[in-house]
Amino acid sequence: MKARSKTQHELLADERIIELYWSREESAITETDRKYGQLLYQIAHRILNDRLDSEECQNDTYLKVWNTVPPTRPTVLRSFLAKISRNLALNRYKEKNRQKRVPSELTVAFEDLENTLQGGESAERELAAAELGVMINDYVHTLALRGQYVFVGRYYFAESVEEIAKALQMTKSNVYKQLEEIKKGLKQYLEERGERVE
Amino acid sequence: MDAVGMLDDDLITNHLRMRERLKKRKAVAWKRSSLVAACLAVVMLIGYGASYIPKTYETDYQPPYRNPHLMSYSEPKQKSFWVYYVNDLGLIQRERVKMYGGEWFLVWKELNGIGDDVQLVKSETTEHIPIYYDENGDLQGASMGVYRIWTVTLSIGLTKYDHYEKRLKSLFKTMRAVSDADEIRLAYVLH
Repeated sequence: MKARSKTQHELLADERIIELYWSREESAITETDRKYGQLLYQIAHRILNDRLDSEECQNDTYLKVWNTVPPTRPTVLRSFLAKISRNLALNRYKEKNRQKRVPSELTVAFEDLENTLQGGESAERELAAAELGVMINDYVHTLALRGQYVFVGRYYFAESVEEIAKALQMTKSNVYKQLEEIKKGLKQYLEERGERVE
Repeated sequence: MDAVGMLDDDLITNHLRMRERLKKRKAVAWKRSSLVAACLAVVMLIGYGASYIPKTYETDYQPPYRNPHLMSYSEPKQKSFWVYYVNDLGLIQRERVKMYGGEWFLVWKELNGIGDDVQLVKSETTEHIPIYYDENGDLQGASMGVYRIWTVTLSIGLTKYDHYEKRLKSLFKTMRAVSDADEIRLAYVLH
């Protein structure tokens, strides 16, 4: 117990971990795992809903960071890792989804969002994904902090409604209500910019 | 799916930071409520334990005898008063005792372990209306209320006075606690 709390205090600062990657020290991976392992596993698990896949995805994230840093020097290591982990998990999810439906939180979240954006994936087919991405990004920036948290949590990290409600100390029904408002707002936002949504 | 993945870094960072902050806040709230619960449990335990501590002066305290002279200050009902005494370390302490107002001297003596060395000779109250004069000696006015002076005369052995000096201070404090007189005076008859 004592050793554990000591370890927690010894967590390296992000800048120090990045330095370790730059000096090609293998301890960089150990330190990343100690500090962010749980977060990366959680991100992957929300998308994949499978322990082995999530662990594999977590390890792939370390490998990817090892190969990317250097030359990249991440400004915020936590979000840099989260993005990589999310993308790797998403790729794995798509691959698995091609074979069969993955019963994860992401499936539920995206089905919900895609219904807003012209049923299924047609909206994405009609618009270039990049263009739509920029618009969604701009729209999320117009939301209040709480709305941003709900959107990013639900549609980026595939957090469950319950998790979001707990974090924000809201009821689940209030989170659902807020999600509805966000989707309505997004639809309107896209329509105003001349995109055919429905 | 890909479009949502293009969210800016600052949105992702903000989300992760906020999540961590909310998590910490929850942990702090949890710790705080645990602390409150623990404190409550301790208070309850102390209260429970305190009920087992023997009390010198219970609510039905009966003094060894009643001095009719002192009864002039007695109350129709028993009340709780602070009675001051000197403990084994020579420090003045106080104890809340339920008694009749006139029993203060007996209870004080008993708490201080004083035998017959100190005796009550007289306890009297005088009242007057203070009148104020100016520098020229002309009447300026009178107070609205009555000014009460409570004087208690004790008889103490000449050689014992120094020994009881601190205890007499505790007697003075006790008198202050039991009486609402405007002034309290202690007089000694040394023999």
